Amino acid sequence: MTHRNDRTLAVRAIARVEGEGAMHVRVREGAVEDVRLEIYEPPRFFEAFLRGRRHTEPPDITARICGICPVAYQMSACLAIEAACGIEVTEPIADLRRLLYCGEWIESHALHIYLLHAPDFLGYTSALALAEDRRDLVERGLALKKAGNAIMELVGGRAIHPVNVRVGGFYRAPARPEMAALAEKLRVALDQALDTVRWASGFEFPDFHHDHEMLALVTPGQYAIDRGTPTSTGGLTFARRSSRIT
Amino acid sequence: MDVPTLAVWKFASCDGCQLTLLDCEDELLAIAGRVKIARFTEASSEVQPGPYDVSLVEGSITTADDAERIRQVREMSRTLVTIGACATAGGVQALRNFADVQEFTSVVYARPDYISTLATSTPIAAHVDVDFELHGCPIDRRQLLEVITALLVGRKPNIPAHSVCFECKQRGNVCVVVAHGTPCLGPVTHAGCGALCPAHHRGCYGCFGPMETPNAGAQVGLLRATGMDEADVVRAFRTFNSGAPAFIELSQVARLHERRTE
Repeated sequence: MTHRNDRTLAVRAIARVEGEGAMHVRVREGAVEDVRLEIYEPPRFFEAFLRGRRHTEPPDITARICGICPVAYQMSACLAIEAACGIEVTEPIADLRRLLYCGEWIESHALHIYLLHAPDFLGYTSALALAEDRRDLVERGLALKKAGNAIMELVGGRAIHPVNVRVGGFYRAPARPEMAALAEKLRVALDQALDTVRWASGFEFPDFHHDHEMLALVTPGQYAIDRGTPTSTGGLTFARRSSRIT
Repeated sequence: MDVPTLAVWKFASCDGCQLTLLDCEDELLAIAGRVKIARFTEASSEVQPGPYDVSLVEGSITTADDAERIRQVREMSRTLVTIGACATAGGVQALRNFADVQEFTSVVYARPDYISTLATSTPIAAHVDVDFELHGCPIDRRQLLEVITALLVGRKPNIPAHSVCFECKQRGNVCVVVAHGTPCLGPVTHAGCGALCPAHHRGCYGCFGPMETPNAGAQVGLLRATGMDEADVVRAFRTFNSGAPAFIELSQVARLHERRTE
């Protein structure tokens, strides 16, 4: 017998997420009985076709895992191959890499906050719909996103799938005047970022707590995105496995 | 006139080409003022039913479901434009076409029995008629704007099919092959990026796929002269556009060249 409080919620394509998926929720007598997240993104087999490539090739290839976060894969590929070869890059190279990576974070976080998630919090179907009422907000988000892309374009050579990254460093170092011009853009972007924090921190979040353990890189004294030790919120740490070729 | 409708579709891909549309930060709101974005899952939860005036299709066909889905997309689309190396040449995932996909599945997945995939990754045009192909891995933002603008006013997009070498000259780059002996796929690669790699002191790696009429013999000779061996040349054409017929031919010419010179 079907009860009035029994229903099945099926979302065939979850919108405004990075990647693809569907969700099925079954509710019985008013209580959620089953939730199923279905990732139907087809396999692309990077791990398999990377075999047999020259050690210089993975940064360009692994970038194509994701167009939204290619630098993450380029950096991982470089660090893995450099570790295997027993190479450590110099501080200026490490700094430029971090700058490039920050560019990706600024771009993808602006995308995430303004174009993907804010519409949910504010009751719109998209940022374009939001722009019809609050064009200033969306313009600020796009400007911040563009600042991230400007870093990627100067340091990485291209915003999506940067061409300037190689094992051991970069093909071309940005010139000082180019960096000075970028710094000016970033001063404006900093104000936009602070305004974004003030704005987004006012969103109403559902009061929901769930026990789960999360894992991320940890580096003392730094926001760890480009180096560190994988550490869980429960205190587990995982030493990076040495795979040095001798 | 009714506002034209635009739909964006994703098949096997990295999201980078549809992100290019959202990367038009200065133009996005203007575009949204001229076209109705009727279906774009990555950007909007609103889904308007077809048919659509223009469909932008990202990604390649790698599953039986997607082979069926692209037919439905074609039926719903007045003009279908494929964007990027996956949609136009099968993408990097077409490297399976030169290997055993079952072996690939067993290497990557702990439970290969969960995986449903075709043995090949094929471009959209292998399945349905395509009205325009925009190349690149990823596509270029300016070229995407040119295609959208051209479709809006009803003219042919101005996307030259010549090689990256033309763009190098326009940009004033020093030729990395002539000056530094760096291997470069620029002479056979489709223009569109603005000669980015040579501007960064590296050779073009062919992410825009083949130009209109590449000279395979001359290109293979040039790469060999810069010190690449046969396997290097074959791998150079087996990256993001390995399924493009001209790049398949180039890797075959590389093998013949080896035999001739032995």
